Amino acid sequence: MVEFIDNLTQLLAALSGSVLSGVFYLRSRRLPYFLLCCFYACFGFGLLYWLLYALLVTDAPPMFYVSDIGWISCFLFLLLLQNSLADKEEQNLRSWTPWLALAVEIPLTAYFIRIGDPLYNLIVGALMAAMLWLAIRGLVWQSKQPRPNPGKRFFHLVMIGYIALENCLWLSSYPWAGDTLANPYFWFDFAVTASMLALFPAVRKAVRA
Amino acid sequence: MTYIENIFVCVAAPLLVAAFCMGRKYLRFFLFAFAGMGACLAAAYVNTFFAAFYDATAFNATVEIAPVVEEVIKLLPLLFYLLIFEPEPEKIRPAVLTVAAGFATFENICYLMQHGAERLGFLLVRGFGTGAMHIVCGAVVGYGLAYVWRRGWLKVAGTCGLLGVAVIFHGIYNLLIAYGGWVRYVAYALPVLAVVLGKIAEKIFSPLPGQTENGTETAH
Repeated sequence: MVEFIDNLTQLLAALSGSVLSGVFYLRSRRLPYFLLCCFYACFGFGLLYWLLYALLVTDAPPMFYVSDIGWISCFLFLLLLQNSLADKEEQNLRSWTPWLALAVEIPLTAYFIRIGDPLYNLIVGALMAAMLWLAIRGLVWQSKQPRPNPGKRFFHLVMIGYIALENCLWLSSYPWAGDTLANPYFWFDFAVTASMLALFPAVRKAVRA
Repeated sequence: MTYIENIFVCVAAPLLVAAFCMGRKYLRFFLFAFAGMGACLAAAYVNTFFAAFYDATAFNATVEIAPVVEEVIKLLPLLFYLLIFEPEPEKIRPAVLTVAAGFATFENICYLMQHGAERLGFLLVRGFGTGAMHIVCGAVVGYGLAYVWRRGWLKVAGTCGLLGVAVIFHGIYNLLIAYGGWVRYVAYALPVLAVVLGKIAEKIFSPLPGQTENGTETAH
């Protein structure tokens, strides 16, 4: 029951995000809103299949692939969104700090590959590392500016929060601690939902900046 | 046992002769229809392979393996067309829809061979439902590809996203069908409803806008 409420909340959040960013895109014709809309739509569509499966079959899909393609696409759109919001000079930034992303993501990906599907976890691990790398680079770039942009800094912070929470969620999913609120998985998942929702105002601030 | 390749030969032979008789103008249509039917034939083999490889039940093979395999294989001839011939956007949509229609037609023929053709009422509902589902998936991919292949930076994510949407739509359809009971009729209605909504949306919204260099979008 908790899992159903958790998934339904997340689906509603993705749906609201998709509609909101879609409306903002149609009004402003700004590319980041389009990419954000695609992110929410792909995430929500993958979740809709997962939710229907769990509802009708009362179990998790044993082979995952259908939803996985939607989730991989949503991370690709998020990566493009980060790229579209980066300053031109930011792409030439030389710093060691963004490489922290690899130090964080490589051991986590190795662990996820050991306990789960190797191909899916390898792709998602690479995407997560790239997203974290871009977010850290964006923060470093903003900190080096004489007049840092608060909108873009907020966006990078939300991205780092989202990536961290997703990793915590996957870490807490194994071993499975039951379908109750005592399971930390659900708290992380509710936090992921909140961070997903926070992406919309973050993108809005970054676009306005 | 269904000799699916024999059925393919029987269906394709008169079409092939017609394609030669009708000349170059219509050749593209026939080629994409063959590609769709060929994709269906290949998907049947690959589905069987993966079902055996994962030791999947019939339900899991229908709900989890078939949508991914069928949509990926359906996309392959189109990717070949896009990469090799680099067609104009207005040529992409008819190509995708013809491949989807070829795929759906051949799938329906195979269904009739396996399950018989006695119940016309049910076959009518199923024919329209499954046909519309493949056309919806084709339309999503076709309209989307026409947009994303004009933008180099969006090609990979866009194609993956469109494939994801098509796979999940197909997956939801198969899930509802495999579950059975009244839910099956929701599944048959779903793609028909999607086609109607798609046509309404096409009338309301203008075509997707173009991309300018400063990151903002403008309408053509």
